[in-house]
Amino acid sequence: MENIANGTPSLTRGERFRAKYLTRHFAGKLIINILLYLLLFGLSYVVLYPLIMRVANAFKSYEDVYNANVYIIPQNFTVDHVVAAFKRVDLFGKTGWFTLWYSALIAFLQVVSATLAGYGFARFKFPGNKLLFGLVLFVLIVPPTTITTSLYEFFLDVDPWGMVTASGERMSGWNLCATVIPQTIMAIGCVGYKNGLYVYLMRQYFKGMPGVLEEAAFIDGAKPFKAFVRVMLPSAFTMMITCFLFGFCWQWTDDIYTSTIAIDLPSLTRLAMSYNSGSSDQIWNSIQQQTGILIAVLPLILLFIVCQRFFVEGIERSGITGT
Amino acid sequence: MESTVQTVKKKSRWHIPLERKRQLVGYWFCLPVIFGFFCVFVPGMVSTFVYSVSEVQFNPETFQMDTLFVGFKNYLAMFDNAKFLQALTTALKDMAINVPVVVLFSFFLAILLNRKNFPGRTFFRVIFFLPVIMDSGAASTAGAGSIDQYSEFSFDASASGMTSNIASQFANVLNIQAFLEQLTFSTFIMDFVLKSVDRLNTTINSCGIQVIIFLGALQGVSPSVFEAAEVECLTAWELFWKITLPLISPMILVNLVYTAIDSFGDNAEILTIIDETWYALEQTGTASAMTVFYFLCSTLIVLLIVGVVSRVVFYEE
Repeated sequence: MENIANGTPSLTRGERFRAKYLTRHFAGKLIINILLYLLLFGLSYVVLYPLIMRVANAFKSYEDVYNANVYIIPQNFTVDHVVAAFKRVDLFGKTGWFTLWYSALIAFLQVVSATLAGYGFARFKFPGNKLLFGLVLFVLIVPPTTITTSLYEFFLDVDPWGMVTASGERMSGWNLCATVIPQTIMAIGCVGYKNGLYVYLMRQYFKGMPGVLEEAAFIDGAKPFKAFVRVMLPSAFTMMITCFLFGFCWQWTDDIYTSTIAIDLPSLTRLAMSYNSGSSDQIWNSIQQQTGILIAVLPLILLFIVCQRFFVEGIERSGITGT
Repeated sequence: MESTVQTVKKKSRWHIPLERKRQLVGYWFCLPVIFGFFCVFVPGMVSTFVYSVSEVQFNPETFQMDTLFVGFKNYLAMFDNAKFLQALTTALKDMAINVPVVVLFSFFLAILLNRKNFPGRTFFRVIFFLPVIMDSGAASTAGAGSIDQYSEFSFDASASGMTSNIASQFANVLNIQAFLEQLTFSTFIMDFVLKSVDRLNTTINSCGIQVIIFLGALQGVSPSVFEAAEVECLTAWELFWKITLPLISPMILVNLVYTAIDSFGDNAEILTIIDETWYALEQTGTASAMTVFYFLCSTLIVLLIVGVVSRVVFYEE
């Protein structure tokens, strides 16, 4: 009674503790949180499991692989195979350098044309807008092989209007598959691997932006293109980086184009996958191959850790909604 | 009053041609895509189709592919290729299981990750997204399968019959099969449950983008809707079914289509068979028929999904 009259409940420590923590509400919350984190950590483990195994395998010696007691932590720790894989995969050599700038080039071109197209689809109601956008998404549905194989036949022997063979010096046209041209053209035309996705993301992003910004630019006398470059591009930069990183990673690990139209170009992952130790031991072979692949994608993992903000938040904030 | 109406009319009369002119600028922006579609994609598709209905032979004199129309012979040859058909049906079956499971699972994960004041949200988001980078293309071809094959070996040898997959280990420990048998479920449901448990690995690995898309959509729902629901005394259960789900439903369609494309359109086994037929066996016609058929299947599936699901989807506008 006295306490209530004073307005300040003077509880003992034990009472306060009981009131705060020994309630049904708190207990329920606690249990749910524990279950939630258990579930999430378990699922994270499932996701990371292949990566953990690959890293563990990379440091195992031959005996460890056949030792049933060794699961993740190797008994005879060795870096020999990692060093050998580094040499084999040529990460810091010519192949690595080429893969780096080639992936960057392709991703950059894809992003540029996807951004332009995304803006065009989002902001201009020209006749055929919806149809064209539908066609872009349609390209996404078509399995890449359906066109790459015939494009490969085309790029193997390019002879525009018989100009190359006209002089009689060459028997056949140019073999463009040894150059970066085929994929460059595909990147510019936005028909590369999952490029429709980038157009979709950019379109959604531009649709979500207030139109007032451009109107202000138009009133100030800017032409549409200038308004786009000066007003819209700076704010779309984050989204562009997201698309660029996707393009970069998917080009880096690509095995559809590097086995067809880019077959004569060096590729890290192809190099890593083509490894054969020559031993008849399939398991040992595949472990060594995977160590190579791990090293080939190591830059991507680092890139992902550094740029995860762009990867994840870019999509989350794209404001994707229906159509 | 009248004068205001007139000025508005005048203004709009001035505006329309300018507006239309401005809209046409869109073609310039879409030029690369138009070029890509009509100058790269369409010719590629057409020539693949032409190959698929003709006998293709390399002409060493002109260095060109000579085509001779043979009708649907290549398609018949394709249907004789048991390996291809098997891969295709497996891919279809896989997809039928994958698509609902992946979408449900990523929806579930997104709801888990969307809780307020939830420490470690970024961490888990990043981890679930990792496979998008890691498990694409080459990295996946030699990835999970062979690792499982290996770890099966290194795993506790005494526990025979245990699969390498962590998820199925759990399933084994919990003895789900016996449990379901006791409940006398039909074999179809049992198969579905067991298979989805079995492929938990693949499921989680292929729901990175879907989770993020759902998360983005969940965060896009305006808080005022939830406030209004609170005022109306909706329970969490009602809130989910009456508000969250309808508002998210367009994204369910997007994710269904994306998962179907991801699961079926990128099937490594089919691609290997096509590549083999094309390059190693040099049966260009048959391989083209395969790609055309493969493409038709994937288009049909996407159309089916869009056709069925878009009836249920709720659009705010």
